[in-house]
Amino acid sequence: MAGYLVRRSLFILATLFAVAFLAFAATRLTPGDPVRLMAGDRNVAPEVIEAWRVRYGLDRPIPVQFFYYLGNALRGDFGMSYQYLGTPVIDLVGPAALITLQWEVVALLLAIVVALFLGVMAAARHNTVFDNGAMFLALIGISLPDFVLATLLVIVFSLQFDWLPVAGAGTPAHFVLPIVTLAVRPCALLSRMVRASMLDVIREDYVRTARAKGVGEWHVLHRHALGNALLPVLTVIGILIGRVLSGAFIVETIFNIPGIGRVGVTAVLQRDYPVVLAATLILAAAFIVTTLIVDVLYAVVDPRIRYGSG
Amino acid sequence: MTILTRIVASLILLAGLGIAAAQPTVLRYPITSNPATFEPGLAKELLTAEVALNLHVGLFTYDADTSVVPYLVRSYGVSDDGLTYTFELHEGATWHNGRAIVAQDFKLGWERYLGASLGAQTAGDPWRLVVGGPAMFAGDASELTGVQALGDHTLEVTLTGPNPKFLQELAVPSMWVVPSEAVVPGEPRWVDAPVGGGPFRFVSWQPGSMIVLEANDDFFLGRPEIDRIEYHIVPDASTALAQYEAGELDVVAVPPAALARVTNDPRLGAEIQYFTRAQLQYVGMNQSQFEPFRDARVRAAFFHAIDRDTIAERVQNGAWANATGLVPPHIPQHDPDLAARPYDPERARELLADAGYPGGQGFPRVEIASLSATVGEAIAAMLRANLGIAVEVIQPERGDYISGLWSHDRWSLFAFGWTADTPSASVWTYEMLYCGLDSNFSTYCNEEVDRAIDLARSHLDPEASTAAWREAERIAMDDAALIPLGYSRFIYLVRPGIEGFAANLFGPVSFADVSR
Amino acid sequence: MADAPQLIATVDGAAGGRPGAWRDATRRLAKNRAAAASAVFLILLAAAAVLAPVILPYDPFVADFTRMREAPSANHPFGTDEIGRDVLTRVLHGARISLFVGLTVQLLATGIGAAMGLLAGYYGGLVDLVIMRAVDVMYAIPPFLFAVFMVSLLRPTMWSVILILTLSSWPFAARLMRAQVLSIKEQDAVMAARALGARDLRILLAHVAPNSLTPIIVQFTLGVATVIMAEAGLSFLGIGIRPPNPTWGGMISQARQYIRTDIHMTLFPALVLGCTMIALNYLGDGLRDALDPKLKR
Repeated sequence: MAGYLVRRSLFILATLFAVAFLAFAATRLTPGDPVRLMAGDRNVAPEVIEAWRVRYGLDRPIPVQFFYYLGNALRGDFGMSYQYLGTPVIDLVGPAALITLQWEVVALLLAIVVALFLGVMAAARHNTVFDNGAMFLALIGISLPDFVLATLLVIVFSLQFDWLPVAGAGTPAHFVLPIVTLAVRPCALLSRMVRASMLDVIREDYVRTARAKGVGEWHVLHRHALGNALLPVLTVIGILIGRVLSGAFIVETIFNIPGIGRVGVTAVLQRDYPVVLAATLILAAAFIVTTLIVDVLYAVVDPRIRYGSG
Repeated sequence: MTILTRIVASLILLAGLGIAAAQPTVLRYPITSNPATFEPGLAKELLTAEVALNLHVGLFTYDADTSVVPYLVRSYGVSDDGLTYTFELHEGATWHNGRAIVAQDFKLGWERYLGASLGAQTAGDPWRLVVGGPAMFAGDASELTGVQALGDHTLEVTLTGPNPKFLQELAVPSMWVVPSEAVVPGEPRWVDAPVGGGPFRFVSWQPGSMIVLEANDDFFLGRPEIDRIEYHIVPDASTALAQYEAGELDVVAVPPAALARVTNDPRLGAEIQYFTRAQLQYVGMNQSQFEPFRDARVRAAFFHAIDRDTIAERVQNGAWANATGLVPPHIPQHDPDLAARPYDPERARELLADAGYPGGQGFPRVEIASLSATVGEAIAAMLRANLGIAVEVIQPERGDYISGLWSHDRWSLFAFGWTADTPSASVWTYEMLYCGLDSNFSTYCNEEVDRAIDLARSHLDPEASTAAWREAERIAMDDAALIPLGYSRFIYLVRPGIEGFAANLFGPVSFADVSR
Repeated sequence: MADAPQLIATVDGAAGGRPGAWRDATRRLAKNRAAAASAVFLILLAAAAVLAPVILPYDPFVADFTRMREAPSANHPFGTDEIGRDVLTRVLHGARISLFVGLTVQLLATGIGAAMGLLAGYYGGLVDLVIMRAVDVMYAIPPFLFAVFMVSLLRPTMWSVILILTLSSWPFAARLMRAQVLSIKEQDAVMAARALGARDLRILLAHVAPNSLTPIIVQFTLGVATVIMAEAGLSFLGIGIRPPNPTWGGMISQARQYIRTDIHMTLFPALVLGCTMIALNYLGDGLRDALDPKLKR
């Protein structure tokens, strides 16, 4: 297993490297002289401009610039914003990334917990009203676009009943609606998946054996079925995390949360390419790291599985 | 009641009052995006200037009636020939870093702004008549010789020619300065605590989220009553309105889409405050970006094809007053007798055919950029129906939109609102139409108009000047330089209990007099 | 950008290739009432969308400033929008755009993805390595940011949106196809054919492809749903197909500011969008159950 993990880590680093290089090249190929863009319409002293050239390697070929960029990035220097002159990119992107991390993790945990519960219950009460009802709701959860759901939630909970704040990011209450909105789709997808997986496993022989031995129903579900049902679910969770990280932009926009999704897309619309690059890298890195974590969990949960060509 | 009960009740009351008094009073105010900068001298647009009014201080300012009033200036005198101004500054005024404000700060601050190329040629405008100003703006000099500090609190400015509008120009935030030591030379980080001298001092800025200012205890005119200002950054106007209704914001501008509902609502209707505003909503046609707009017939065709009154009255729900010309009412040089080209689809089609595009055939692809999707769609629908031209609507992000306007190379057809910072027709004629200016977003260039504008700017006699401004406006309107859509008003919802919120013709005044 | 979870199960047990299997499948599908109803709904929607210019009296681009934001009535069953255009007409024209984009993107993405997956799975080795690394990189790029970034470089027309969404969608089909191929490659019939010296292409077409159809069909249907949702998301943010073209996402976005007073402007496009998504999902589920009875729940 150690060898597998080492290979996966290397692979992941390589992928991240490739993504970073592609994104970096794309933003460097856009028109505009980086120095002029960083200075904007201010009168910046020549020594400072020279310092920029040295620090960012601006007169070198693009591949070399990329290494400068990586080196600086590791020290937290992602360059200077083109839109907010004089502001380092890290000041714009750092706090936003933290905010996004916090509330999205909560949303995902909520989605996973609820999905596990619903999926297991639906599988246990297969073909009953509960099962059909839950799956119908899940299908609606998958189908409803998040911007529609968000708008409806705001109307009902904020405007009609005045229970929750409309927008912003001040108090925990501000995050209730965004978290619910973001959690609905992953929860729906996951609960269907859990249910399908559980149903598969329940029919397996070893479960029937356990039942025949007189093990209690809950015990059957819990110890014997759930563990094996979880394997495919884990893979899915990894993918979902990636989707959620980037898709939260719409939710962040509607609820006016200053998270990395909104910062990144606003930066694209403002052509603030250093910020776009930093946001892309952070999101890609987050996705790739969670993929690695999921892989590790997978290996831990079922070390019998051998990994072939990956 | 026994004495004991009374004592206990009084103590409780006092404690309650004490607690209430200890709660800081906050004003929660929405803005639509991050300000471009916290430096007043670099403030090129309304939102940035609004924040600057609270952070900074200048020699003069505009009060709520849009009159120029002395601010840092305690008294002033002008020489008989009108060329030398002597300003006596208040003693005891300090910058936020504790240092006393002295006359030399203004000389150094103005030299700093002039030395920097600010990108807006109108920035050099107040200096055109100051001794040494043009030379420094052109980069030929390193000292503003016409400005001298005759002591800590005496500032002397010498002009090359009389400028009756000089004090007005000094009242605009872009002529206010910051202390030189607070600005790191070369690489100013505007997110570091900006230092000003205004009624509020900077506390924090979370990009995209909120800017917090707190009352300046040492403000020379007295500490403001409000303890804190929170600028909440809310890009979407209807979200801001919803937040106001939910009690999360204290003031909000009512978007036209919600105007009918708000005025008819029993609770909200009582909280509306109207202020007159000097803003022209118009459609611009960028000639350098889109060739057909260089033909006056095409521009006139577009002018006749757009039902401007319908847009102001119906589409914008009456939030805008009908526009007859470029200069809004309440500005001295406004021309009430100016008759604009009428809505006339027939004539529009004729003109377009004359120009070589009968029925819109062969007309190159054009898109309209607008911050309001509804206005953009209304105009697109009118152009399609009346001219046969299919126009798509772009709704750019605000910061991108404005920088695209200034760079002249992104938008061909655009809808925008142009506000004044001085109550003069020059804002809507000189700034918008003079050949070669950066603020001339349409890259319009007409010698006749320029001549009239030059005349207007040089006249000292107000009547002759007004006549010249009106002439310039008339020529430009005949030439279909721009298409005026309406004159907007300020329509705010203000939470009951908040006193002292006011806006002059340009925008909200500083919150120094606000209390709750 | 299709969804992984529903399909992982199907990878393991591909049916098909047997004579009479299709007839059986159709029968099973018809018996699934939800799926059948969904299929009918989609067919009706598609028909209405195609025939919209003919059967509806209104032009989706013509404004009527005397009839702005009218509630639903006999003349306007879905009411009018903020500049007086008939909402029903715009919703149906929006269906034309959504369905066209959805189908086109999926056809292209599935075609490209399947081809890539076939090649990677069958030939293995370097081909596999290169293709799968490309897939991994595409997966790692946050799809929404990618879409927004690409849109800022290209002009947002229908075809650039189709291009961008296709680029985001093909990796999934590729992975799916490759997994299918890998599992089928080891089967007796294929190995026998190879041993007998049949040409690779022949083997691919005759043995591998038909056996892989089931998950591809299911993925196609569900993928159309995902693409429609993505397109709606892009036009909701204002970075997709531009107004005044009637897109469902764009209509919902514009209607947000009037949601307190004129909810019909949001309600009808949202309902139709939602029903389309639900129908596609039910149909996809139904297809999976019909074509692959081993997985029936």
